[in-house]
Amino acid sequence: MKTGLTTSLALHAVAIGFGLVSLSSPREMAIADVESFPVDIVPIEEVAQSVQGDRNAPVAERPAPVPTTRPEIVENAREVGDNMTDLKAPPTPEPKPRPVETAEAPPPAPKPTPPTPKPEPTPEPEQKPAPEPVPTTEVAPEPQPRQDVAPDPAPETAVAEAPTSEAVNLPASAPTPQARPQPPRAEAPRTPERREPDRRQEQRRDTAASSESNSRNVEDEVAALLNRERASGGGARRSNEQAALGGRQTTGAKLSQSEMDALRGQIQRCWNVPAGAADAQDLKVSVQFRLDPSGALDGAPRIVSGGGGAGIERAAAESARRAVLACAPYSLPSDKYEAWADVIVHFDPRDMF
Amino acid sequence: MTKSLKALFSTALMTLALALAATAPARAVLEIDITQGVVEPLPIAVTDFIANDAIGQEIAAVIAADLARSGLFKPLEKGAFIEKITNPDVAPRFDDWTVINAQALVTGRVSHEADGRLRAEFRLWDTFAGQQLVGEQFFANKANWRRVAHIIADAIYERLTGEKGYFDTRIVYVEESGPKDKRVKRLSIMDQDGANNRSLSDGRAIVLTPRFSPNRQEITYMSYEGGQPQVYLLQIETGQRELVGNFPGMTFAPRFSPDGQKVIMSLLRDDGNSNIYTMDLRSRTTTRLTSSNAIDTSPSYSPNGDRIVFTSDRGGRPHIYVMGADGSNPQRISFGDGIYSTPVWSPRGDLIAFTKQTGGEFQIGVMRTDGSGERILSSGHLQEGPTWAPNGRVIMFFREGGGQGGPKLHSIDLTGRNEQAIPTPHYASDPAWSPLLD
Repeated sequence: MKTGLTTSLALHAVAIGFGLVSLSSPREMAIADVESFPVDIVPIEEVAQSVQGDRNAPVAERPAPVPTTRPEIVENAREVGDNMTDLKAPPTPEPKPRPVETAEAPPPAPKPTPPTPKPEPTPEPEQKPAPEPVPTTEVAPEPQPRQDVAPDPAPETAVAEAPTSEAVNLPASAPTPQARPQPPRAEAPRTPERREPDRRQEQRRDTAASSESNSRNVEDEVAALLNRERASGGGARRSNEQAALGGRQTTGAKLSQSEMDALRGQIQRCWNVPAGAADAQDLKVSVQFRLDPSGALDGAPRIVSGGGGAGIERAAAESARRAVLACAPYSLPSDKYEAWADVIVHFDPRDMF
Repeated sequence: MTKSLKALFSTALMTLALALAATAPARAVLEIDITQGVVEPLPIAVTDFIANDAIGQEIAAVIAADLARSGLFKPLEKGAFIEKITNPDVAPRFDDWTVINAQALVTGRVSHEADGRLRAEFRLWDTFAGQQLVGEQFFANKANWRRVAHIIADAIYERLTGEKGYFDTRIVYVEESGPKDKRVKRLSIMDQDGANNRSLSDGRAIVLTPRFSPNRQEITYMSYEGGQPQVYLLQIETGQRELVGNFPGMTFAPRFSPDGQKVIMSLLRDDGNSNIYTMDLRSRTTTRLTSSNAIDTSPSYSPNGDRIVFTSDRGGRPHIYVMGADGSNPQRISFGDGIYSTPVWSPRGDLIAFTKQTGGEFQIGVMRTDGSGERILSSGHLQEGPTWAPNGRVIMFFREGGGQGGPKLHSIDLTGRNEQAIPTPHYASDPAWSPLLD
């Protein structure tokens, strides 16, 4: 007994001494500094829906689902000329008798032939009819280059400058723009209802021909009338991007769960459940109805299933229909109108009993 | 190779795009499931009936009161009406009614015919759907104008809830008057809204548990007038009384069978054994249905007459049992903690109402015919004796408040809502609801 005790004590001392000496404290566990991210739960449709685009365009890497504002700013029609209607392009100014002051160029008769170009505001072609001293109005060709240049908003400064600066280096013929320069814009957003490129081409032809405006007045007016309708238009989703592969219209726009719950709640509070009826939990009714973009009912709701005959089923069907009628109009996201224009509601009171 | 592959790929993509465009659905239909609603009384507008005297207003008032008391309708205040109905045959301006949220509209006319009868016609309109639902016309004796109002209210109730109404019915009950230790009990009958109250017995003998016949104007009840409690039959119109059977012992808790041919009751013999017997009213033959040594009482037929529910304490405490109409195969259906008594089968056939005593309290409850789904509708100090309205939706019972007062009648919807007190001139107990009068 004594030996056992001493052996035990000795071994215990050895073990404890060993532990005290050799075992060390464990390593500190380093807690990594984790960055937290805010997370958004997005329905898959926001990423995967088919978007409006051009059927004939190649696939683009980045579709352009976000509707952008209209890129082109249609200027107000400037009050130029005596037209009754707004034209697409300002009308060509008729050759007007120019006041004498502006012309200022041709000196009176005594200098019929100034061979050297003087630092005068006369443009070169003026020299041709030089021998005629008298009315500068007869200097017919003179206004012509101006006439060509006038439609340009940009080169307008040239018009102002022309009478004052030297005229030597004026080009023989000013470049005649065939149409008003359009801001650079992709052909991309084409909706089938609008045949825009065709119209544009027509316009080009029109404005080119409008320089001989007298013979084309009718077309101008017609085009102006049509133009007016379209010039103020907009509304279709446009994109600044290149056309991407897509369908005719955006499909697959689905209501998120909370929006569906909102609609459910709006109908629910008007639905008077036929409580206490025998087998009330079996009274299922389905009602179909259409909504217009403001959320009001478009036409009468229709009982699709349930509600046959007389008695409790008919009363349940009528209470379902009354619920739909009484709680209209509904407030729903207007940009997803395609998703909720047609609604079928299944009324099932089984959870109430 | 890659070039042709690329071309192939792009053509494939083109065809896919074309197919996509070609088969793009015009519009998807949004489907929603609605499984919850509200349980609220339906707002209804009852306009005064066009008449030369005040009867148009009175009939409209009775109709509105009936609908309001059912708990399923909420008649709107007349002051809120926008349109004044002058011709009930013309379609009303529905927008005037939908804007005050009246989901149904009642218009009508009352006129006195040349032969002295009353002609009443009414129309029920669905304001939101913009159409007429019901249009009917009645002829009646001038004295029965209240019945006409109740019949119109029944038609409205039936059309809007899908179930038959219960307004054209009467209640037979025991009227109690006098001090508590010397009560005078009289058989009385009244309309279900408390009007036209009159007595059927003179109160010299104690009467208990009167019950209506399903197809005749007669009542069966228990009376002590012969010294011993016995079951009697009473013809309401003539006042004629007769004893039902000549039994050696006390008979009580009588009820009619659904065909009105038999009376079922309990018989307490001198040996203390109480069993259930039926007696055929024509042949006067009696049949014994139970033969246990326990107390079997309070029998009630199912609406189709093939089963009987009753109370028995063969299991130790009084509980509810169901057996065949010939007495076969009794099954216990109540298993709660308490004393179950006075079971009544609903005329709709789906529920059984009962009285339960537990924890010093009395409760009125319903359970399904197999005993499941037990629900307590009302708890109180001293209340018992449920009776069903003919459409199986409303239960009437009597409750005693305790103290020096007396019992009064109350009604409650089977969902537990809308408890109402029924006005009676004196104290009242043991109500029984008549079937729909025809």
